[in-house]
Amino acid sequence: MAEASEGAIRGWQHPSGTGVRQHLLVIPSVICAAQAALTIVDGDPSAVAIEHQHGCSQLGGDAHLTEQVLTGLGIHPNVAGTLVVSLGCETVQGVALHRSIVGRGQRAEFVGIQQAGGTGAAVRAGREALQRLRSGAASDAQVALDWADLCVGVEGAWLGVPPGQARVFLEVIGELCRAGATVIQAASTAGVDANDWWEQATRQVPGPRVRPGTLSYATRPDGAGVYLMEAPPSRIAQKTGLAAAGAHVILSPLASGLPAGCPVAPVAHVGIAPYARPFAEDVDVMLDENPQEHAAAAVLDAIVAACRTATPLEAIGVFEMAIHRIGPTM
Amino acid sequence: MGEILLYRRPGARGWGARNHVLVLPLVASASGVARALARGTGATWVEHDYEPTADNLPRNRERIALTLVGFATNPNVGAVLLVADTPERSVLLEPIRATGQQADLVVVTEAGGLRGAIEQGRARLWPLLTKTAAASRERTPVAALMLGTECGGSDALSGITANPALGVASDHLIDAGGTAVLAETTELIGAEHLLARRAATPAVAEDIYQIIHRYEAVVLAHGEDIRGANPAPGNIEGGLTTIEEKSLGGAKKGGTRTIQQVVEYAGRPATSGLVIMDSPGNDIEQMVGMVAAGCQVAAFTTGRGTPTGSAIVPVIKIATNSHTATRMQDNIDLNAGLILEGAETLETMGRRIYDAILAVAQGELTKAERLGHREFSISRYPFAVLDTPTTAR
Repeated sequence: MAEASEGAIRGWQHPSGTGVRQHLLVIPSVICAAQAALTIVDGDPSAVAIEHQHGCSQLGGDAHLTEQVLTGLGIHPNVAGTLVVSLGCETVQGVALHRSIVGRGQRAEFVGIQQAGGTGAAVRAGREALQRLRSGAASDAQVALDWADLCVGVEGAWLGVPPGQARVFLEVIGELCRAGATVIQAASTAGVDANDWWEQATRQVPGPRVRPGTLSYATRPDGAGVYLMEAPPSRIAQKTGLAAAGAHVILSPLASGLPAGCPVAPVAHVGIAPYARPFAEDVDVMLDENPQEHAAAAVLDAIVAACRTATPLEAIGVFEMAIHRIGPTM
Repeated sequence: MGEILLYRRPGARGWGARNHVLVLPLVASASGVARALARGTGATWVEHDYEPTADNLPRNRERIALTLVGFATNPNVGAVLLVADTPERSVLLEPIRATGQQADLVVVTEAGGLRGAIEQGRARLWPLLTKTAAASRERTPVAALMLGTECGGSDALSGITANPALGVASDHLIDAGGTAVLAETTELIGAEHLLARRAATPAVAEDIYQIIHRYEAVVLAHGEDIRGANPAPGNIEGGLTTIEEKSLGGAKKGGTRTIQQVVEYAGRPATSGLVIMDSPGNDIEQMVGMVAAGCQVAAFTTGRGTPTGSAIVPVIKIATNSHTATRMQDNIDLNAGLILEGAETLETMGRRIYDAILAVAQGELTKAERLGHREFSISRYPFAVLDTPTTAR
C-alpha cells in the first residue's frame, strides 16, 4: 500500500474527474456509426474507439440502459475528451448522448454522419474534433493520486473459486477499503442471493463504509465506500458496467474464459490457478492453488501497476466491449 | 445476360460473388484475438459480443450457432479460421467442414495464451489465404444468385421510389431463376394480409401471419410499444408516421412474385424464388441473418442515408431521394430519387438496380466495400418471453 499513499500513481485532472489514463474516446451512438468511429482513430495511438452492436431498434428501458452505459463511458475519469459519432436516425440519438455527456461536465464533441454528408466527411470532421479535444486535454494538470482518489471495480468471478483463493480477494477489498479507496463489486444475482453472500463476505471489511443495498448496473456510486453492483454473468458486460460506474481500474479474476480488456479502464487480471496457467504471460499476477501470505499484497501491487503503466493486454491492443441488455432487439 | 462469372464452391454451397478468407471469433472474448491476428493479412474479420454464459437459453445458443455456421459457410467465403476460447466451443468446426468449407481453428486456451494464439492463428491463416487466392471465376446461370433486400433509415419516399424499384429488380432475378429474400418482420407489421395473398400455399400464408403476430406479442409481453422503437426518430423526421406506413413501403422491396417459403432467422431457403425471413428490423442483425442464409449480394434502400455494409457480402446502397444521394455520395451507389424527378421510371430504375446486382456479383466493388464497412451483430433469440411468460424479465 505504501506506493500509492506516497502518491506514486500519476494521474490527470480531467474535466470529468481525476484519472489514471489520458484517453480520447470515440463513441458511436449506434452500430451503424461504428466503422466511421474506428476509421477516425485509425493510426492515432492516443485515441480509442469503442465498438458495440446496439443503439437502434431497442425498446424503452433497454434503449435507456444502453444510453446510460455509453454516457458513463463518455464521462469516465480516465477519459480526457469524448467524441460522439452518430448516424442520425438511430434510437439512441447521438445528439442527446452528446448533450448528456457535456451536461456532466465532460469535454466533448459531436459528429453526425448524415449531417456531415457521409462516411468520408464524418471521418474528416471527426479527426478535426479529436484534434480540438487533444489541444484541450494538453492543459489538463498532472496530479499525484492516492487510494482515496481511486475507484476499483472488482468482477464477480472470484465468488466461485476455492475458499483459500477467495480469501485473498476479501483481503484485497479490505485493504483497499482501509486505504480509503472506493470499491464496486460486480455480482451476478442469477441463482444466488448476492445480498446475503455480500453481507457475510464483507463482515471482514470495516463496517461503516460498506454501503447497504445494491447499485444498479452501470450506475455511479454517490460517495466513497464499498458497493455491490448488480451485473449479468458475462465477464465482458461486467467490465463495461464497472467502467460505466466510474471504476478507474478493474480487478478481473480469471477462472474461466479469456482475458479481456476494457476500452477506458485498465484491467488487472488475476490468473486463478490451475485454470489460468496457460495465460501466465497475459495476466498481471497469478494466484496459486494455495496462496501464500503475500498473495493479497501481490494483487494490490498489480492494481497499482495497472494504474501506472500499460497492462499486458493494453500492450497488445486487445479489448472487448459488451453492454448488458434487458430486452430483445426489434 | 443469362450467365455470370462467380466462384464455384464445393458441395452444396453454390456460387460465390467474393473470395474472402474470414476470421470468425466464436465468443466475444475471442474477438480481440481475431482482430489482432487478421489485421493486415488480407483476411477479413468480424467482432461480436456473444458470450455463452449460464443464463443463455438453449434456443438462443442454437440461433447463435446457426448464424455463425451460416456466416462461415456463405459462398462468398473461400475459407474460414475460427477462434475459440476453449476446446468445447470448437464443436462448430464439424458442421462448417461438413458443408465442404475449408476451415481451421485456433483454441486460445490450448495455444499458450493470447500471444500464442495470435501467432498460431497467423500460421494457420497463411495456407487458407494461399489456397483461396488460387480460385477463379467461372460462368454459371444467374439463377445461382440469392439477393438480400433491406431498407434502413427509411423516409416517406422509401415506399414510393427505392423500395418498389428494388421490387422490380427482385422480380427480374426471380424470373431468371434466382432467389430474393425479404426480411424485417417488425417492418412488415400491417402488410401481412397483402403478403399472405401471394403465398404459394395456405401453409406459407399461415407462416406469414404467425411470424408477424409473434413479434407483436413479444413487444406487448415486454410491456413496451413497438412505436417506441419503430419508426425510429430518423424515420419520423423523414416523414413516416406509423409502423404500418413504413411496412407497406418496406414490403415492396420483395417485388410481386409468389412467396415460396418463410424461413427462420439465418435459415437457408429450401427453394428459389421469393422467400421471407423472420428477422428483426435492426439493420445489422437483419443483414447478418440474410448473409448467414447464403445471400451473396444485398441491396439496401435508404432515405436518411446509412453507411453500413458486411465483411463478406457487397451491399448496394440505393437512395430514395436525390438530396440524400448527393449529400451522402460517399455511401450511396444508386439514386432512385430520379424516379420522382421524372428522369427514370420504376421499371428503368429497377432494371438499373438489377444490372448493378449482376455487376457487383461479378466483382464490381460497392461503396460500402471501398470504405471498409463490415458491421456485424447477431440477433439474440427474441421470443423467450413468450415461451416462459412467468420468468419474463
